[in-house]
Amino acid sequence: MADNKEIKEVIDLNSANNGASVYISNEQAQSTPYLSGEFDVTDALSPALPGQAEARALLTGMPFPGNKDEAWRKTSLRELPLAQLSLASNTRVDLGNAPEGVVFLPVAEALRSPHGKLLKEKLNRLVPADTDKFTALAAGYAQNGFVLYVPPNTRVPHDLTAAVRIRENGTIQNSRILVVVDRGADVTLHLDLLGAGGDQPALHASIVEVFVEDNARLHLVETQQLGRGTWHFSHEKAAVGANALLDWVYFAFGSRLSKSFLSVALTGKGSEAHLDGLSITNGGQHLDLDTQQDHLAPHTISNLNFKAALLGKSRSVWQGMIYVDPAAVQTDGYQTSRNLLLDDRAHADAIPGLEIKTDDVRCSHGATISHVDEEMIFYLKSRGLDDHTARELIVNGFFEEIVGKVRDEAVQESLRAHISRKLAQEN
Amino acid sequence: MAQLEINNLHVSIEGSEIIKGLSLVMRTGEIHAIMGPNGTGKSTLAYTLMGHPNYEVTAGSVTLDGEDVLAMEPNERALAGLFLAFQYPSAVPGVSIANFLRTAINSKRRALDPDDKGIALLDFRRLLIDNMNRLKVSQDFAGRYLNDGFSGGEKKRVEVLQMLTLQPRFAILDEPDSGLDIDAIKIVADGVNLMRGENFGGLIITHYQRILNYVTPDFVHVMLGGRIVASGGAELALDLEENGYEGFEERWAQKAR
Repeated sequence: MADNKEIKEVIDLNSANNGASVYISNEQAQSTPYLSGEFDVTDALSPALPGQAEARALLTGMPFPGNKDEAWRKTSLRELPLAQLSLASNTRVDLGNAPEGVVFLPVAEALRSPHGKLLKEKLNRLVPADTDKFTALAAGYAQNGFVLYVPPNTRVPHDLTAAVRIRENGTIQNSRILVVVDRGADVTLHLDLLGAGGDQPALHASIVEVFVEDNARLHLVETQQLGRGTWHFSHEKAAVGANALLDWVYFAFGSRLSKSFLSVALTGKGSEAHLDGLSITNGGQHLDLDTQQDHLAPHTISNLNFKAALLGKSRSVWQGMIYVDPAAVQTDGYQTSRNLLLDDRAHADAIPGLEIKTDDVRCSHGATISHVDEEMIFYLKSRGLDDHTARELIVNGFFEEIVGKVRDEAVQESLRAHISRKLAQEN
Repeated sequence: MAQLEINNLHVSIEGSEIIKGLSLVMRTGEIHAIMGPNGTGKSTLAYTLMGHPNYEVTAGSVTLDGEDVLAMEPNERALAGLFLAFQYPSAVPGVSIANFLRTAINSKRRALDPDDKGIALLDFRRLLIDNMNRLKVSQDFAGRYLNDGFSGGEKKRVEVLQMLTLQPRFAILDEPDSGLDIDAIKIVADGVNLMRGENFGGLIITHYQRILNYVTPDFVHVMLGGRIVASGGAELALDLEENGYEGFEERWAQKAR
């Protein structure tokens, strides 16, 4: 069935001259760490979670990522103010109400619940502590986080909400999140990462592990609105079981610099994952998103659609990979990255990738980087809209496809308002 | 009565002159048609009047009730009462027609009064639905993304819908009939006829006479080589329909004698 393999490359650079690049590289060379030194963790409490002590032992002496590490080539850590940061005594996490029978608790409490044994087995399974220096930090020193466990065949009637609040006060605040949607269960979770409006630096390292078991459904809406002094590092991975569905929508607005790894493993036959996201950056923000779609079972579908709008001198990086295992026949895997440059000083990188080990698949990837279409601006101005309003309408339109993936209309409205506010900021 | 006056207009694009001394006076209450073959500068005129940045006016003037139109940004021209129905309007994905038109109406209201709260949602809905009904446009168009995936006919109808909704003083319609079948042309013509009145002036730019069977112009101008070479009534359009643009100038010169 060799004819069945469709690989389409759409790399459109016609309107992007400087400030844009799209390429594929597999170069591996000797890497020089961006930073040397260790996190100041002198105020740490004793380890309380499984794997914490081991992760702490790993962390010491583990090098920071470097300039030749494939995942980190576009994101330098040289300006990370390591010496100004020390471990905070806590991280604030606010959890909304959950119905009876659903576990929605801070990690330590959840592990003591009747489902504790199962949850302990899941913890540390998808994101090993030794992945990099930041996973070791999060696994070893997460002050807080939460577990959501939805028992089999339970449909949670209202959306659940969780907020991780990171204070910009010169501290390291880590969180870890475990979501298990058991067989046949169905839930929507809104996960907000929020800032506190402080003017000092902060560091947030985070691990998010998500299990969508056979026949289960999860709608995960993640909104990153961290403060402008925050350095955000997250490793987020979901495993999707047979005939299960993951609808993951990801919004990135905040942080000084962020590096997020978003990964989906389609582990069961007939599983499906949709990953839609947007980012809007301004000033000197640098947002780096690394995505991975692993097809490990037959008849699986993954579809990634990310959009970025860049203002000011901001930078965005997207690096994506679709991997299709030899066992994953009859697979559809798609990835698209669209980047809209609203300022000549902004810079976007889009680096798609495919690794396909079987023939009977349909996969495609596409990446575009472009400036706002001046004909579109003229058309809207000819109807009386001023320049700013025209651009705002175009950017909101550009993002509408992603915003529309959120099922709650009130959340859609607040996202639109957030996009407009960000566009109204000077740069 | 308002007056749009174009005087000895010269326009270049990328250094080459397209419009070479064009003069025309339009008043509200009048419908003018400009006819001409392809490449004669008709669309250049339309874009120039609306202020497209790629068109350079090298000489001449355009005034609206004495105000210098050429000094205005495109949005200021719109607020002054000019409208262009585009031959090839841009698609704006993700922006619904309703959202777009409401934004346009509110832009105008806020230009007049910075404290304006914008048109009430119910009033706007009523206005849009009325206009869609008048143009036989299905109501689900309100939620469709502006020109995104529209057929040629749908785009033209939505241009006219915008004109009806925004109520300009002067509208330039750039080949509103091109690529349309006769039913679609009638709908576009109906839209112009609905606007017709003492507070509206229309300039229909067209290659063919067909649409003028449904909108009778008060004045017809023939444009050749970047100039208006003849002005008259509907009989001019009929002459062109019968005999074509080939040899028009000679025919016209003989008639004039």
